Amino acid sequence: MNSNTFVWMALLGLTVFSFSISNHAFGSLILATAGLKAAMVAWSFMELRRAHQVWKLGVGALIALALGLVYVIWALPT
Amino acid sequence: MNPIIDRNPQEDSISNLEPPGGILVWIIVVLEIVTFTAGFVVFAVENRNHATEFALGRALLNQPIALTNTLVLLTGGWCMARGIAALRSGHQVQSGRWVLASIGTGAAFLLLKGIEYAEKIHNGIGFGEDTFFTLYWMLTGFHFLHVLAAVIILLFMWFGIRSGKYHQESFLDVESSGIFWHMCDVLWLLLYPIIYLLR
Repeated sequence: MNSNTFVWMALLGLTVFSFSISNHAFGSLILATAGLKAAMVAWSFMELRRAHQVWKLGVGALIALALGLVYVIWALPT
Repeated sequence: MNPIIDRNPQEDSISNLEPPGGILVWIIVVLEIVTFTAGFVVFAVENRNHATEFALGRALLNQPIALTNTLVLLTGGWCMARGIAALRSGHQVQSGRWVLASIGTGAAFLLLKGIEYAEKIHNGIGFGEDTFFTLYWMLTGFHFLHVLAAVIILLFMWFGIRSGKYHQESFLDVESSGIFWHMCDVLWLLLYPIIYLLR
């Protein structure tokens, strides 16, 4: 199977998974799944795997920062 | 000057930094992620400040449409990746078909989002309804415009592939357009759980 096809099927599976757990308040798992999916799209479909380390680290750090900030704000005790 | 022996090391390091699709589109990608991150942070902060309002607002969102739209966008991303791979390997007709399929998924996303928006407007939930829906309209609307732009760009690429402008030796524009298209995927993958799924 083509590697992009494998990634696509995994992405669909992860999307259905995160939707199915959304009623059970697994916020951290939902955000982690979103980060994994975004990284998979960047790595495979956007071919970040062929790019220089600087781009890999930069884009990876940005995705982690976006979700990390949301997680910290979301998880802070009220 | 011998082109092999007398290579400029500075030029080499610059060309090594060039990502697939060219550096310009990746600068756009970085700026867009930063811009959307600012929106996500505002959303998360307001979610804390207006927890009840956000829970009620989220309950009014159309979850099946949002889930379908996520699957549709991911499928469009896969089609585009296949289209670029086909173009690189010299299969122009196949490439055109994959790009056209991507355009189809983009149009489907816009249609479904349009249905979701129409439903909100029909129920009197407009921009400025409350904090939740102000941010919902801003973030999803901004993303909607990006997908619309990507679909228009892909239409140009499709015409270019069909007319023979883009082929095995000339595909940078198609590659860059593909990166922009996938960026819409990435932004939606971050936006979808924050607006629709987090409780």
